[in-house]
Amino acid sequence: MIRPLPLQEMGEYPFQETFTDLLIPLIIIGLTFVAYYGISYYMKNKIKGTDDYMVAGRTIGPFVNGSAISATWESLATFMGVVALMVTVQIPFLAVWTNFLLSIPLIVILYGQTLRRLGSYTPATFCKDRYGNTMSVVMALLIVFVMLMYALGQFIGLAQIAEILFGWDYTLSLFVIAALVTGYVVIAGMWGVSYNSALQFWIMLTAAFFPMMIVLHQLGSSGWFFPPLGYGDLVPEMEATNPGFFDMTFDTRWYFAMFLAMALGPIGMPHLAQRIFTSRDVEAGRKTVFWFVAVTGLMFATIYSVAFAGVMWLGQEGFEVAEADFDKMIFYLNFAFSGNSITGYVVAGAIAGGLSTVSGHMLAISAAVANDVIEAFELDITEDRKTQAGYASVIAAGLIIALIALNPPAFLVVSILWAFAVSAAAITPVIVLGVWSARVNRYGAIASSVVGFVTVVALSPHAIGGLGAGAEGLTADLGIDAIMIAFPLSILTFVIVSLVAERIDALNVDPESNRNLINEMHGYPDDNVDRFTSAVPLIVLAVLMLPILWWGIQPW
Amino acid sequence: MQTHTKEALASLIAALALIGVIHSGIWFTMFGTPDFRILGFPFHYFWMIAGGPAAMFVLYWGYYQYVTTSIMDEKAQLNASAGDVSGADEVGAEPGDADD
Repeated sequence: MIRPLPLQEMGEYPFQETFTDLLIPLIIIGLTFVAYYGISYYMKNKIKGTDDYMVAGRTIGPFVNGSAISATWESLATFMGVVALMVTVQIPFLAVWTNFLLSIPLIVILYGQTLRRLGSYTPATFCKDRYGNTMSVVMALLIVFVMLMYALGQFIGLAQIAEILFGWDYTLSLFVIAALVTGYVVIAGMWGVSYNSALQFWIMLTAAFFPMMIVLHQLGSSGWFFPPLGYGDLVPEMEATNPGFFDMTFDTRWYFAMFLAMALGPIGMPHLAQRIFTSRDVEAGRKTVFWFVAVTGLMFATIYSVAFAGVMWLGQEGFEVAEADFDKMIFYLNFAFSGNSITGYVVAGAIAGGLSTVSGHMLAISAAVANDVIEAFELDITEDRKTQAGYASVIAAGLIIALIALNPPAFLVVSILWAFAVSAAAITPVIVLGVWSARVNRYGAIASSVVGFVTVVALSPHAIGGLGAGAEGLTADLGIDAIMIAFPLSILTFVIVSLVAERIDALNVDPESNRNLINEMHGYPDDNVDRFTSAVPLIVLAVLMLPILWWGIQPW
Repeated sequence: MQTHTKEALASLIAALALIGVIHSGIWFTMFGTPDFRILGFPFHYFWMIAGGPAAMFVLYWGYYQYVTTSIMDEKAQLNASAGDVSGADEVGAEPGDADD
């Protein structure tokens, strides 16, 4: 494992840390923004109503959607955080990151195609139909909370890039970034964001792939022409200089908890689900997964080569880097091997990653507020007014995130990944079980979301503190110890409360009332046949949660 | 077996299979890391960066084929035979414009 230096001042390293000539990098970054605004301007004429603004008129094909989902999903963290965590945590973090590849196929298999068929805008829209207004509001609030947590980190990261690049102060950088992002999201909504995100993905991939060819060539790899898999001949040298690089390090429970948080968490993330809802039909939604897996797998493998090369380069040269600067490893590598111009394109790729993700967050917040909350309160407004509310909520989201990012509460920035634990415990069970079982109901759903959310927050070291689930360090910071308790508790609550509520006459729970909705969302005829009505799968699932809960409460 | 039971089982099996191939960290910590190399990489590293995603692609292709042919055909037949009552009740949100 790399031994970090204490915090360093700029210019203290024996290698280039920032641009010595800004002209060409600025031109490259400027051109990418011209392209983003050009696409949004071109797409704005397609906005005729809420469907266009929130889900691009449900017209997006598999290739564009696969690329766009990949970019939305990868974020700024792919260029900065992932490389930093690969450098520090090494192989275990790779096992964590591969979990994310599961999210989109699981979204499509478990609920994406059914909610697309139903015509939902967000998971909260589905909750209104399936569980009623109260659960819809609870889900909309959860969506806004999780998206704010997630977007905050992106805004801060983008502002820091602008700060380093232009030498502006943090506040100015933050508001310039907020204005630029909000601008192109407001102009064309999901139409512009979908095509922009697809372009942003290819900028990200090329900004990682081609510069790494140069780096690997100079490091002496014979497979430099294909960075994702071409550096195998450098492995013996890595094993000699960093003997622990390929160790699994943690125990099985750590990886299992990672599965709960990092695979089941993103399933509930509305900005990812919303992309499936933009598909031109259910079949296109299914096909999107092929493109997503192919292009994201290529991107990830390329980014792993960056981390590998970074560790190797530090070892070869005998350089040490402060932990806070591991985020910039991809830039240091490119400064060292490729110079200012190519590093300018790498920075453009990192910015593209941040923009694609934060634009997805802003649209998810906008849809939750402008569609789901308005519908939940049954406000009588026209379609035009609803679309205008969409524009207004995007602007408000940009402003609020920027204001919070000025002086963010510590618990909100410690870990974006922590938001995944909240999503896994409070959002995912309600959506997935609501799709596949007619026996769960609003009482179970509300109780499950509240229990899941409160448990993660209470056991997290970031929010209240002092309680904890027993783990420390990375395990606790990522919220993975909390998820081992919160997730099984959430499922148990959902199943038990739902089945008990059925037996209380005063609560008026009738599983048959969902029959039409369940049949419609799965594409079955409205033929008065009850489907997905057995309680056995729910009981089996609940029983399976008991050993997980027991495992989770054991000392870490 | 009824169509909706087959659909639920296919979805469950596909989800578990995908989780099984991609979450190799659990298997490698339970059973150890194999002592051979592919393209110069230790097998467990290769599996995480390339083998797992490739296996995932193939598994999803199997699910996709089954759902788009068998399950969708059966649903189409059910809808055709119940054509006279289908769509009688509007529920929930407006359905999407297109379907498969």
